[in-house]
Amino acid sequence: MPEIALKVENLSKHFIIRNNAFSKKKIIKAVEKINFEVATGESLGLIGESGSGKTTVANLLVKLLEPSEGTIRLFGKDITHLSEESMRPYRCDIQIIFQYSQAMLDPKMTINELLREPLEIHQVVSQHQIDDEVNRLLKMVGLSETEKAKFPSQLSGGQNQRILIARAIATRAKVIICDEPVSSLDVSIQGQILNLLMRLKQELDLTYIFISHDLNVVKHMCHRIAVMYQGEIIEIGPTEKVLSNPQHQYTQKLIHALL
Amino acid sequence: MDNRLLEINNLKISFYHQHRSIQVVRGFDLSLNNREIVGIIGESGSGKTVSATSILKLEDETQSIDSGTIIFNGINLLELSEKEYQKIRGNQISYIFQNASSALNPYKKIGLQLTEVLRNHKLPFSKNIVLDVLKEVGIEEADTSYDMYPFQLSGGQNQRIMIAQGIISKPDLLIADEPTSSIDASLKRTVLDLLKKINQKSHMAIIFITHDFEAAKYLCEKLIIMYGGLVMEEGEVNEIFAKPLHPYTEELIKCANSLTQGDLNVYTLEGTAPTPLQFKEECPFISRCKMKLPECSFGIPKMTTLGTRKVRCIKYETR
Repeated sequence: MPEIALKVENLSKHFIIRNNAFSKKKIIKAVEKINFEVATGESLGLIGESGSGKTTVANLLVKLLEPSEGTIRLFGKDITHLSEESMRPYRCDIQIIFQYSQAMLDPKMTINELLREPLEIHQVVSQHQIDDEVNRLLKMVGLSETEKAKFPSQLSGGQNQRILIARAIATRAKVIICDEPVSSLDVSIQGQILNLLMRLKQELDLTYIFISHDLNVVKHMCHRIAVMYQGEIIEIGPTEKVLSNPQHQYTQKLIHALL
Repeated sequence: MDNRLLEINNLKISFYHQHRSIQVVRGFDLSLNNREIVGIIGESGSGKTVSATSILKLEDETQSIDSGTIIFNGINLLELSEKEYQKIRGNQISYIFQNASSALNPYKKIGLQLTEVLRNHKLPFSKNIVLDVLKEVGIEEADTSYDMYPFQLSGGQNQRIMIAQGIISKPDLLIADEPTSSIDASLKRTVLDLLKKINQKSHMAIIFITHDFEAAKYLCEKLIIMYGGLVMEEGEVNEIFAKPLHPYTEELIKCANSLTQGDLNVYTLEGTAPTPLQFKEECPFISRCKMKLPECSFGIPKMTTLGTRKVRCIKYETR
């Protein structure tokens, strides 16, 4: 029985919206009491339409947002209410890759600096090994050392996505949350990134939580999928089973909507 | 034939970058009949958006059109003054931008942004007209959305607002720049169906810019494939998918199919597309082409017409 990498119980996030200072408060339940667990080495796909709460879940898992309710356990350790300071060591284990790689990288930092940053913050390797480590990371994600002096704006979308992936694996992360990692890329580049993610998963025994609205991509990448609708997980199960025999009405609609 | 709505010939566009002029679009031709849907497919940097925005002259001072003609309804748009252009822009030709959330004004409520389109073009406006358009594009709570700001809506909803803004003035031509790229699978079909419905009901011709093969196949009748600032292949959608002529098209279709078929290793095209700075006087696909010949580097291949189709590859050039 493989170890449970991530376990989420009754996780909720409510936002309070006020149109103006005098109007009544309105509570938006972005995520409502969701439960799931992911074993090490497994990849779980999270699908659902925009506004269904997929990205909110991603942000909750890496604690970019404070949950309203529920618990998140990372390798058995409850990280739900850890302070910024005490969360830091756990951030090495769980990393996130965002959709718009260009926007996520500091435009004034070179690729070298961008890759050094996580290594220095988390003190992954000793100071004199950092240069070698940067080269190793570049090689792992299929980039050459000549890119080191460049800025993100000088690289293509696919190359920037590779840099984001390199930053995520730099801290020896075991769980990586991929929030639409390929949806802004061209068809010919998409495959390259998916193959890279697959290869890294095998080499480093990674656990993925894969958020995408492209069912073909999810089908390719994930063992299990969870379908989100209006903040709740309405269906979860092995990919083949969910796609071939969807139980919930919404899942049926979603699969039917595929071109 | 009087049915011709838009005819673009040999369009070349340059950008002024770091004290020199760089040509990003090196040859763009397009002919579009009334009520037709044409898709432009290409990777990022292939010049599809630049070509399309030039139809509306939405250029800034760093961009210039070097040569070519854009004939819309019998008028050469490139000869019009800015004032004359304003009568066409948004009124006869609408543009739906790619990233809806940043293309909408964050300070204005949805209702006002839509009313503004009508008011600016001196068309009759009322809340009911706006609500009808919102319902038409599938915004369920039209009344509530009318009083909301763009940031309060999701990406998919903002995309529909953009479409609403594009169709509210009932133009002859709608240019949709990647309208489905930021929304999810369940909505993609809805948006494409919506565009189809608009095309049939309001008789709008549509230029659909995308990098999504499936979407293009679903929506378009004709397809233009761009690479490296050039149109590489042009023809009916079904014919292109049944028998791609250009090696690039062939590879692209292989890539797209590989993912759908569930191959363990996705088929990919190695390397990246050349950026305008790397453009040379040769076939832009040369570095990734598996069928390249020494002749490929002797200059940009010419467009060859083969029946109803056109292709830019030396394989088909008659010697």
